Amino acid sequence: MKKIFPAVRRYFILILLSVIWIVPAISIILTSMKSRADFFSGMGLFELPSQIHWANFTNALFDANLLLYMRNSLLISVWKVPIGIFVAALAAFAITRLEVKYPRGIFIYFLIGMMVPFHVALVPLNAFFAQHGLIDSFLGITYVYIAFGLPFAILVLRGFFNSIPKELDEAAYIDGCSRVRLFFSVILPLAKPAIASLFILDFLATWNEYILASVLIRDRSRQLVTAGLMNFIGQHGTDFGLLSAGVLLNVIPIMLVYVLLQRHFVEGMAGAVKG
Amino acid sequence: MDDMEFVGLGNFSHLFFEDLVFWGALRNNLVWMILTLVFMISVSLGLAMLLNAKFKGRTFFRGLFYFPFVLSGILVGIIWRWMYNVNFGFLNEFLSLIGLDQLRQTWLGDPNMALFYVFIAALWRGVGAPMILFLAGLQTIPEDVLEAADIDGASRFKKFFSIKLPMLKETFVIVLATQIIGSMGVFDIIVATTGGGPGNSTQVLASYMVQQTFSFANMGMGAALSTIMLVIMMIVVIPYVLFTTKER
Amino acid sequence: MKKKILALLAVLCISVFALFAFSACGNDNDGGADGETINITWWDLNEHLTGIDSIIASFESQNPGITVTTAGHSNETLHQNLQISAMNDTLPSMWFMWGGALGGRYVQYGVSRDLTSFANANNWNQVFTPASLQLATLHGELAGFPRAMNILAVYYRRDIFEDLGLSHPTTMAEFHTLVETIHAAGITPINTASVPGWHIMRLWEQFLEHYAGAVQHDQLQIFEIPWEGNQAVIDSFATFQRYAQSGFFPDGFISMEAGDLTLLLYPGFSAMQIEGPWFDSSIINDQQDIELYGIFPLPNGGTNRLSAFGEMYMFNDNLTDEELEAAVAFLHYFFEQHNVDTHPNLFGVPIPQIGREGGIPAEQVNVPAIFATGSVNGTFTISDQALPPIVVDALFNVLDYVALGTMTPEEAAAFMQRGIERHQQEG
Repeated sequence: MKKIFPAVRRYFILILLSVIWIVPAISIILTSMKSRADFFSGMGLFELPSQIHWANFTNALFDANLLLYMRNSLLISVWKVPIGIFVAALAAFAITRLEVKYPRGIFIYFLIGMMVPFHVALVPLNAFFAQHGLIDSFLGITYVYIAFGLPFAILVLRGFFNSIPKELDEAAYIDGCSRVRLFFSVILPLAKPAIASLFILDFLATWNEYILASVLIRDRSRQLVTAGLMNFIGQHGTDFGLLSAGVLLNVIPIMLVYVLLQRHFVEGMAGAVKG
Repeated sequence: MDDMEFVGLGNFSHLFFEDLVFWGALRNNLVWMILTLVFMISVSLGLAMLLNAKFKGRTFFRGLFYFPFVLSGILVGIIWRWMYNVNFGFLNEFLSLIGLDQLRQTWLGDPNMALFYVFIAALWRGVGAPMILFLAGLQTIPEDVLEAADIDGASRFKKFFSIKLPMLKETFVIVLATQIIGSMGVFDIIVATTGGGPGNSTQVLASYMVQQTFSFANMGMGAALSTIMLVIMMIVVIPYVLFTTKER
Repeated sequence: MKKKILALLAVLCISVFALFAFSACGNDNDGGADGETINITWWDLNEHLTGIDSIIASFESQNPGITVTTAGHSNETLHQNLQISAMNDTLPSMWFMWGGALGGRYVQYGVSRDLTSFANANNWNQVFTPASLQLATLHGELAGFPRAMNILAVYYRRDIFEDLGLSHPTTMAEFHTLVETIHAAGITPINTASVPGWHIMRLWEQFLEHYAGAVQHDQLQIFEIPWEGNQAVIDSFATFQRYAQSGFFPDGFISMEAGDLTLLLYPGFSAMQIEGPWFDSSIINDQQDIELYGIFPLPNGGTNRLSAFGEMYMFNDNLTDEELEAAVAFLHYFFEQHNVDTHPNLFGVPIPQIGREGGIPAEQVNVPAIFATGSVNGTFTISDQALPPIVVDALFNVLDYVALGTMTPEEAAAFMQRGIERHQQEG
C-alpha cells in the first residue's frame, strides 16, 4: 500500500506535466498535415485538417532537398561527435587525473571559449576559410565544430571524472595499470552515463547549429540541415505546412540517438564501483 | 573597408551614457539569468528525480520532456508566437473555451510581461538539457549510500538535501556554468518570438549585438557589446568555478 | 613514460585534425579564373534561385568558357554573409541587393563596382526604365543591374468592401472614415505588424507624405530640414499613434510577426494590407482566390505618390572587365522573356526594362494596376531604403514607443533627430 501511493502520485504529476508539454508541439504536428488552403482557411491552429496532406512530408524530403541536407549533417555529426568527445575526454583526464600544472587555469581557459559570443568569430573564420579554400568543405566545418564543442564537453567530462573516486586510480596503479589503461579501461567505462548524455547533447548541438553553417557552407547541395530548413522561410510568406513537416522530419535522427542512448543513464556506476 | 577609424572608447561611452536600449538589455539579461537559475534548475532537477526511478513508460516520459529541446530555437519561437497570438493563439482560445474570457491577454504585446512569457517558452524548450545532465549525475550516487540512509530511517527530505544534493555538486557546476553562460548569450528564441520588442522590452545584449552588427551595419557597436557580454560572463562564471573547485 | 605516450597520442590526434583540415585545400573551385574559364559566383535569396538550374545550364552551354555558381541565403543570412565578406574581401562576383541604405553600405565600403561608365558604354538608359536606374543609383554611383522595381499599394478585400458598401477613398479624410467604418463593423481595418519594424512603417510613411507633401517629404529624407519640431513629422506620428491605440490594427500587432499577417487577411479578419506586386503571386501560391483582392493608392494628397523600392545585382569591385561583361551577359540572358514565361513564380514583378511592362502571368491581375498607378502618381523611396541605417534603427524604435504610448509624437520627432545627428557625426 505504502508503495502504490507514490507511484500513483508520480504518474499523476508526470501526466499533468506531459499535457502541458505536448500542447505547444501539437500546433506544428497539425500544421504539418495541412495544405496551404487548409492552413489559411481561418481554422484554428489546433483544429484538425480537413484532409491529411502527406505531400508536405514528401515535398520537404525530396523537392525541398531535406533528405540531402540531413545526409550532409549526418556526414559531419558522425565524425564530429565521437572525435570531439574523445579529445575532450583526454583533456578532462589530464585536468582531473594527471598532475599537470594549473589544472584550474587550464579548465577556465577552455571555459572562456564557451563565453565568447559566436558572432565575433565569424569574420576571422570566414577570412581563414576563404584563404585556405575551406569554404564548403565538410572537413573544414567539422574541424571548427570540434573546436567550438570542446569547452562544453570538457566541462561535462571534468565534472564526472571528478566524481569518480581517486582511490580507484591508486588501486589501478598498484595493480600495475598504466595511465593509458587507467583512462581506457577504468575511467571511460565508469563515465558511461556522462558520455552518453554528452553524446546526446553534442549530437543535438551539432545537428542544430545554424550560424556557422550559414556562413561557412554556401554551395546549395552541401548545405547542412538547419540552414537548409531556413530556406523554407521565404521573403514574402512561408509555407508553414512544409516548414512544420520539415521540422518534424529533422527531429527524427536526434530523437533516435536520444532513445538509443538514454538507457545508459540507468546503468549507473554504483554497481561498477562495488564490483 | 580601409576607412575603419579608431574611435577609442567612443562606442562604449555611447552605450553607457546615450544609448536608450543598452541598460534595458543588460537588465533583461540579468532578469533572464535569475529566472533561469531559479526555474530552469528546479524544474529540470525535479523532472530528473521523478524520471530516475524505474517505472513503466519512463523512456516515453524522458523522451517527451527532452523533445522540445531538439527543435531549433527559431522554430520554438514560431510555435510560441502562435501560442501567444492574441487573435488565433492557443492560450486565448483556451481561455475563451473554458469561459474565462476576461483573462485573455495581449501576452507578448505587454511590454512589462513579455520577457516572462518568452522565458516560459525558453523553459519549455530548455529543461531537457539540464535534465539529462542531472539524470547522468544521479547515476554517480552509489546505491549503498542511499541504502544505508534508508536503514538509518532518513526521511526523503533529508536524503535529498544531505545526500543527493551534495553528491550532485559536480553536476551543478556543469549545469550552472552552462546555464549562466547560456542566459547571457540568449538570442534565437527572443529574436523569433518578439524580435526584441515591443519597444525593446525583450531586447537582450546578444540580440541587440546581432541587430547592430548585421541589420544596421554598426560593427563597432556590435564589437563593444560582444566585449561587454564576455566580461560579464567572466565576472560571474570564473569566481563561481574557482570557488566550487577549490577544495581538492 | 606513460605520460609521454598520452602526450604523443594527443599530438597525434591534433595533427590528424590538421591534416583533415588542410587536405581540403586546393580542391575547391573558389580560385576563380584560371585564364580559360570565367567563373561567376552569385549570391541571392533562396527563393530567387529555386528551379533556375536549367537556365544556368543552357546559358553555360551557349557560352562555353563561362560558368555560374550560385549560393542561396535567407533574408538575414544574406546580409550577414555579405557584411562578413565585405570585411575581408571575399565577396562573390555578384549579389542580390536592395537599393537605398542597404545597398549603399557596399558603395561606401568601396567594395562594389561603379557601373556608371559601363552603363554609358552599353546604353543602359535605353535598356532599363529610368525609375529603376534611379533606384539603383546610390551615393552618386550606378551601383547595380536593376532586377526589379517594387511599388507598394493598399491591397484590400473586395468582398468586405462590397458588404460594407465601401469604395476607394480619394482623400485622407475619406480614408480615415473608411477605416472607422470597417472598424465599426468588427473587422480589423489595417493588417500590419510591428516585428520587424518595416511593415508598420509602410503606413506611417503614408501619413508623413500626407502631412509634409511631396517636396517637404523628400527634403526630410535627405535631412535638408530638421525632423525635430517639424509639424508634419509630429502630425504623422500623432495620427499613427491614434491608429495604433484605436484598434485599427490587429490586436497584439505590436508583437506580431509580419510573416503571420496573412493568417488574418486570408480568412477575412482584416480588410487592408500595404503590400507590393509580389503579393499577387503570394496569394496565388497560398491557394487563395485572387479575385477577392484589389488595390488602390492610399490617398496621401498631391498626386498620391506611392512608396517604392528597388532591387538589383551589385558586382564585386575587383572583377576584371571580362568578368563583369560575362556576369552582365548572364543577367541579360537570365531575364529574357522565355525564362520569365517558363518560371512564372520566379519573377513576380515585371522586369524593369523598357518595353517589358507586360510579360507577367495573366492571373496576377493587380500587378499591372499597381505599375500603372505608380507611373501616373509618381513614387517616393520607401523609408527604410531612403534613410541611413542608424536612422532606420531609430525609426523602428520610435514607431514601437509611439504605438505603446511611451513616447509622445514630439518626443518621437526629437528622438529621430538624435539618430540623424549620430549618423551625421559618423559621416
